[in-house]
Amino acid sequence: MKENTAPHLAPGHSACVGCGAALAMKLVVEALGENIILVIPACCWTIIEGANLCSCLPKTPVIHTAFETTAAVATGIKTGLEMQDRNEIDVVGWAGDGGTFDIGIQALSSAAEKNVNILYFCYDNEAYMNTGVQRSGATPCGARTTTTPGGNILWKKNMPEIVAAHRVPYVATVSLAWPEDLQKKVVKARTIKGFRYIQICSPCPAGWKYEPRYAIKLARLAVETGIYPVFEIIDGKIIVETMKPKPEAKLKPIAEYLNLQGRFRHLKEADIKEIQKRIIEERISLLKKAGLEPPDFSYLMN
Amino acid sequence: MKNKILYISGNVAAALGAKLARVQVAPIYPITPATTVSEKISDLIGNNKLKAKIIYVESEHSAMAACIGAATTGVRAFTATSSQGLLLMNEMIHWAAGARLPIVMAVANRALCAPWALWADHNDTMSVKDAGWLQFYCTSAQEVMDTILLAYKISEQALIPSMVIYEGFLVSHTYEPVIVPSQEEADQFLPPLSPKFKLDPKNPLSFGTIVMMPDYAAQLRYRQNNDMLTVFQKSEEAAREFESVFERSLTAIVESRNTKTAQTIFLSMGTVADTIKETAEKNPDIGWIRIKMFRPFPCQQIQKILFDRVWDDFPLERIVILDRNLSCGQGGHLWQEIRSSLYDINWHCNPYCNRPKILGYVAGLNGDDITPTTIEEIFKHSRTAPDEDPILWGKGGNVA
Repeated sequence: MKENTAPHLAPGHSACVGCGAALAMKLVVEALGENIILVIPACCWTIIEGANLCSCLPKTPVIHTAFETTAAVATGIKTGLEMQDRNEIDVVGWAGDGGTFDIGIQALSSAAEKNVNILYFCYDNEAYMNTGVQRSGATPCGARTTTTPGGNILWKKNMPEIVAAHRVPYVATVSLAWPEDLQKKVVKARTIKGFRYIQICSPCPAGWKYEPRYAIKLARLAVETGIYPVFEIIDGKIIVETMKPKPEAKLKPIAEYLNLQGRFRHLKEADIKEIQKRIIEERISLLKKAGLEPPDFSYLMN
Repeated sequence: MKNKILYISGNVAAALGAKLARVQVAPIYPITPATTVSEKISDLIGNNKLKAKIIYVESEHSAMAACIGAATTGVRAFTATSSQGLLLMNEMIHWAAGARLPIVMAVANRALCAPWALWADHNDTMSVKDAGWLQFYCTSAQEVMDTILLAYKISEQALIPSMVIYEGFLVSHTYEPVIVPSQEEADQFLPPLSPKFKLDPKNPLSFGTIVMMPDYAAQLRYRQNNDMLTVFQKSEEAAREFESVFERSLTAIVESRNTKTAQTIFLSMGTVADTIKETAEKNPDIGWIRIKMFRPFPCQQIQKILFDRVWDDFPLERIVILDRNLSCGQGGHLWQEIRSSLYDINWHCNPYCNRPKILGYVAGLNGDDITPTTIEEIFKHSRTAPDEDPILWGKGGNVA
């Protein structure tokens, strides 16, 4: 067979300009390299990979499947490969937040509980974007979607900790603003055996309503304001060293993040204050779980 | 090794069929009355009698999803379910067919809820008759085991998945003597699976990508349909090969008796056919056809049997169709198919021949017993009944 010299993500994908999910895939498949099989359920990537006999992933075998089945299909593939002694192949789930937090959580929980040896990525754009921006369990508090026209009143589901509660060996959240960190974690995850979960904060211009040039800026602000912290949970333990922002770091005010996005434009000052308060609570809770004494965050409430 | 005769249930026979087929991955989820299939598979693997892997899924939906994943890597996948479980996996049943994966599934029929129901009828499998799977309705533990081997053979040739169907409890839990062939014989009949396309990083293909051009999508579906129609010939050939390897006969499509002279011909599926068989042995006025393959529907095979009678000296007076299922508002599914199939027969090409009456009876829902007496009563009733609406047999129906 001829050597496959194509890039991991070839030109011609059909994502929107400024899509975080397209960049996320590029970084991940480059880091994973050879010997993977990708499982893609219903999500934006059903379309992005390319229609009508074209694929923008020329080096990667892909199986598309139904919305809620990423982990179940990946388990089937892994088991089929094990029966053929092809254990060198990593089976990689690639689902959106709807397919992970909501409809896919049952199969995900089952695979996590059994510690099935697969790698599961959730590219989290915080709503059902492929169907036109409807609220999911990953939608942040305050965000306007087509099904929450007055703003989502509920707080985002804590999926990384839910997965970690299954006692899986590796859970991480990553940001597109730190691509080297993202790829390092992907490579690290690949060396670990068992169920591995990586959640990527994945800005969406159509759903978050930002100018495409702000995709990376928003990915960075999501971390720096503390609304989307980057951290690893290895064997149930939150790792302090790789946490972003650093445990002692000052957080940026959440308004800086919210004001760049149309989905939060309707929020009043009091709403933003409420969100800020909750971010501090969540931050304190995370730091305490990591065994740290939380710093004073009162500067954010002034 | 020689044949063994074991005294086993239909579910155990299904598991042994899967073992003889050397299935490699079996996602399992319990549901009455199919559960003991999974138990027996686990037992066979645990005792090193079958080299395969179990996947303990959390639902039937995931069971079929895992079958799809496994089958796409090129291994033989098998699962078993029933009733509500079959309904839950509905989405993936359609997916497996569209993905052209030769998965075989044992289905022990059970009535659907609500209200909670346990006993056998065909409404569960009828609800997925249009999913693009082959459907084989069996009457005995022996036939279940044999048909699983046959189904893998046909499915892998046609790239269409198969349901091997048998009534819950009546077959699934009834113990019968079953001839179990040796593994060598089974291997001779069913060679190892070697699919043309599979998930492989060395040859990176995309499976199930979105098709935006409607004509291309239609083409794929038409091809699926046309491949389904090749199944009749493949099944006949497979049944002949089965007979030569195992030295036993196996019905693949339809079987019939006494259809040349009887005034009344019964058509049915599943265990009811055996009861009709018994009644017919004592009554030369009754002939019968058992439809084993419901999908694809053997329209021409049935037409051929009945068309013989157009020129016959013995007129066929009535066709009685017995359905252990009910499509509310429309009657039994077999009755609908038969009425549609018989439309093509020109009964009047012989001026002395009239179209026989076509009577549809619904009976035996949720395990209601259909005894030889029931058949005799229906036979008697059919002699005077008009062939208009489907007849709901038994208490509460239009025949009290």
